[in-house]
Amino acid sequence: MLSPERRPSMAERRPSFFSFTQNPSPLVVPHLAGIEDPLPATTPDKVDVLIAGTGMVESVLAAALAWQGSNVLHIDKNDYYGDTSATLTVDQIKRWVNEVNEGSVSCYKNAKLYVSTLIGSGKYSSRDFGIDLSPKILFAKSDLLSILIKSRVHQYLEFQSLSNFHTYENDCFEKLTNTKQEIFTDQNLPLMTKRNLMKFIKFVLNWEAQTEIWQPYAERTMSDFLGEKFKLEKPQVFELIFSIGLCYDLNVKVPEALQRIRRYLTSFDVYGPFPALCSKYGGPGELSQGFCRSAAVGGATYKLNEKLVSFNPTTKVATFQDGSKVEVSEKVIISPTQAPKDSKHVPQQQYQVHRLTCIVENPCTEWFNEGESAAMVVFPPGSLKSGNKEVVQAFILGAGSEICPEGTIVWYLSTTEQGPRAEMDIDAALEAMEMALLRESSSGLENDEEIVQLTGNGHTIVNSVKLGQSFKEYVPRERLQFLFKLYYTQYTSTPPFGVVNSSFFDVNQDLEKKYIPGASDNGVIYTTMPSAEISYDEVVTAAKVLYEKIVGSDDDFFDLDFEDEDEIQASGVANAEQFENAIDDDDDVNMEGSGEFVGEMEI
Amino acid sequence: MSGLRTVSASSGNGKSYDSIMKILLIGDSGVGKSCLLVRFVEDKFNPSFITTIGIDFKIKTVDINGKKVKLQLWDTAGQERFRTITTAYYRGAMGIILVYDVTDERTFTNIKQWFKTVNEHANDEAQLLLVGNKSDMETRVVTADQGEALAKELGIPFIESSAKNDDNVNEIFFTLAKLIQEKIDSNKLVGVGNGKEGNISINSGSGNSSKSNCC
Repeated sequence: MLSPERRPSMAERRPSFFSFTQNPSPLVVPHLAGIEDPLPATTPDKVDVLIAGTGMVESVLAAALAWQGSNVLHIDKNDYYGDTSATLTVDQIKRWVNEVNEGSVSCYKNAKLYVSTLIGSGKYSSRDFGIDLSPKILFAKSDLLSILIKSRVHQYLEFQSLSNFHTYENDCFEKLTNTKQEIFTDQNLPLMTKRNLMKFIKFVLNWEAQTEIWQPYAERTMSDFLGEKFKLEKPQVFELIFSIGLCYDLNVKVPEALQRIRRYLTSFDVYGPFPALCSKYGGPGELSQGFCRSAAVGGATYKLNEKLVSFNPTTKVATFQDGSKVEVSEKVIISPTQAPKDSKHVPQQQYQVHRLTCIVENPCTEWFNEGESAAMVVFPPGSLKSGNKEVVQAFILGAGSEICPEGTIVWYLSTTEQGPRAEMDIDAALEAMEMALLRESSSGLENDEEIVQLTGNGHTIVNSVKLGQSFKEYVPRERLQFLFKLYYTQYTSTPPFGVVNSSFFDVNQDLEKKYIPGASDNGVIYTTMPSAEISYDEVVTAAKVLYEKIVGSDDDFFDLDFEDEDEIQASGVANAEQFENAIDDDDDVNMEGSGEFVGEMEI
Repeated sequence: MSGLRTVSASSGNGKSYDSIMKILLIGDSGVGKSCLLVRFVEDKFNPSFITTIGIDFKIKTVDINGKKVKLQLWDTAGQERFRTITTAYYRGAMGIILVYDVTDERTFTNIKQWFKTVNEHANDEAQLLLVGNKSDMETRVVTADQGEALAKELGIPFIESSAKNDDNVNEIFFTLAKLIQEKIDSNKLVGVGNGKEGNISINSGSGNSSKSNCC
C-alpha cells in the first residue's frame, strides 16, 4: 500500500496527471511526463538524493528513485559511465590500470596489462573493443529482467542468447546435458542415471515445499545430498553444482545450491531453449547506462567528471572538487570507489575476486552454439593442474556480441579463490583453454575417429567434439596470439554467496549515528562493490535495500506503468513462437508454481 | 511473468511496417530538439517545452518511396546539458539530426563539438543532417548562409526550420529518412529487422497490453 505521507511520484507531480483513483498502483506515467518542468541551466542547488558512482546498483537505484519522484543528482568522478560496472575501450583500460596502480581507484589492486601493438597502431583500434570490468549474464527469469521490462530500459538494449555451458573435467570440455530431451537421447547415460536426474529436476523446481527431502541435509554439502539422496554420480553432481548452479566450491550448502540450480532450470525456455541472455556491446556497462538514461527521462540530473569532496551531515551540504555545492535533503549514496579523500566510513572490503580478461586473435566458434556468440566454461574444483579448490569460471564472448571485432574472442576468467593461489588457478584455466583452442585450430586433425571419444572414466564426449578431445597427447605447435591480457584483483564486502540475501548489503546501518571528527563522509551510505557472482542477481536486491533506506519502504520500487503512446504494436511483434518446454514436456512438474524470481526469494 | 513470449526480431510476418529507423536528435540544451520531435509526431507546439525530461523516444510511421517506415525518434533526455549523453544512446542509430538555434551563436559553434562526439560513438555510416531551428525568430544571429557553409564543411545536408510555425519540420524527418533508405538500398546501412538476427526480444507479451513496443 502506498502511504499517504509518501512523496508524490514523478507522474503525480506534474499538472498533466489527472488520475484521481483512490489507489493509483501501478502508477501510470503519461507519455509527455515531465515535459512541463523546465530544467535549470546549472546543477540544482538542492536535491533529495545525491548518488556518486554510476555502477549497476547505483544506476538502478537512481532510476527507481527518479520514477518514484525523488529529485536525484547522479554524479561520477570518471568521464565515463559505469564505474565498477563499466565497459571500457582498450585506451580507457590503459588509463584505468595506471590509476589502479597509482592507488587512485580504491577496491582494485595488482592490475597487470599487456596490449599487443596490433591494437592501436595495428589492424584493430582501441574502440573496437568493449571490455567489462565486472562481466555478467542475465538469467531469463530474474528480478532484474522484470525490472528491465517494467522500466522500459530493455528498449535501449539488445540481447542475445547464451545456451552453452561447458564443464571442464579430465582435460576435456564437456557440454552440459541440460534438457530433458538431451538427457533422454544421450546414449551414454545409463538408464538409472537418467531416471535419477529426472527425479532430481522434478524435485528442485519445487524444492522448498518438500522439506522432508532436503531438510535432513540442510547443513551438509550439496554433493552429499545429490549422491546420497538422488544416487547421482560425480559427472552429474558436478554439472548440477557448477555448470547449472554456477556455485563456487564443493562446500556449498544444500538450500543455496538448490536455489541456484532452479534459477537455471526456470529460466530455461522462457524465451527459447537457453537459460541466460547477454547484452550486446557490453554487459553491466550497457545496462547501467540504460538505467541512467531512464533516470534522466524521469528527471534525474547527470554529471560526469564530478568528484565529491565532502558531505557535512549538519548543514546537509555536499561539496564537489570544482567548488560547486548542493544541499541534499535526504541521503547521500556513494560507491566505495567514489569515496572522498579523508573518508573514514568505507566498509571493509574483505573478499577478493581475481579476474583475468584476455582478447585472443582466433575466430574460434566451437565454444558457441550455432547462431550464438557467448558461452560459459566452468572449471570445477580439482579439475585443473593447479589443483584448484575453488571454481574458475570463464565467460566467453565472440564478435557477434559486438564487444570485439570479427576474428577475435574475449575470455573473462574469474575465481573466488583468495590470495596468491588465485592467479595460479586462473593461469591453469587459461592454459587449458589455450590448448583447446590451439588444437582446434591446428590444421589437419589427426584422425576423425576421435570425434566420439571415450575419456578416462568412461564418459563420452558427444558435443563440442573438437574441444572435447583429450589434451593428454597433444603438443601445441604454436603459441596463441593474445591481443590483450589484463589481470586484476577486485575487493568486495559481498561474500561469494549462494543465495542473494539482503543482509549482505545491509552494511552500514548505524553509520549516521557515529560521526568521526574530520571525516569527509559522515552520514553517507555506501553501496556495495560487485561480487564474483556472474549473474545480475545481487543488483536488484542491493538497490532495493538502499531504496528502502531512502524512501522508507520498497513497496513502490519501480511500481509504474507507462501510458501506451505508440500505435498498437501487437501485430508487429505478435509472432510469438512458444518453444516446447524441454524440461516440462511430459511430466506433471508445475513450472508456474515455482516461478518466483530467484533474486527476490530471500527478501 | 506469465505471458512472456519469444519473439524473433527478424521474423517479419504480420508487420505493420517494412523497416525501422533509429534516429537521434543532438545539440545543445534549448535549441528545440524536443519541440521538433513533438511537432513532427504530434503536430503540437508549446513554447514552454524548454528542456527535456520525460521524452524518451517517439515513434511515427511514414511512407518513404512506397515503403512503410517506422521512425524511432530519440531525444537526449536532458543528458546533453553537461555533455553526459550515454555512449549507449548512439548504438544502432541510422540517422542523427544535429540541431542548433539560429538565435544563439554558441549553439551553432558547438555543432562542431557535437559532430566530433557523434563521429566517436556512432556508426560511421549513420546519415547526419544539420538543422538550424527557430528560423521564425527575428532575433536571429546565425544566417542561413553560415548554416549552409558549416553543413558543406561537415559534408552533411542542411535545413532551417521552425517548430513553432511548423516550417520545414516534416522536411527534416522525410529528407533524413529518404537518405537513410538510399543507404539501406545500396547496402551501406543495415536496417533494423534485417541485420539483427540472433537478437532476443524480451518485451512482455499479451498479458500486459499497455507495454510499449520494442524492436
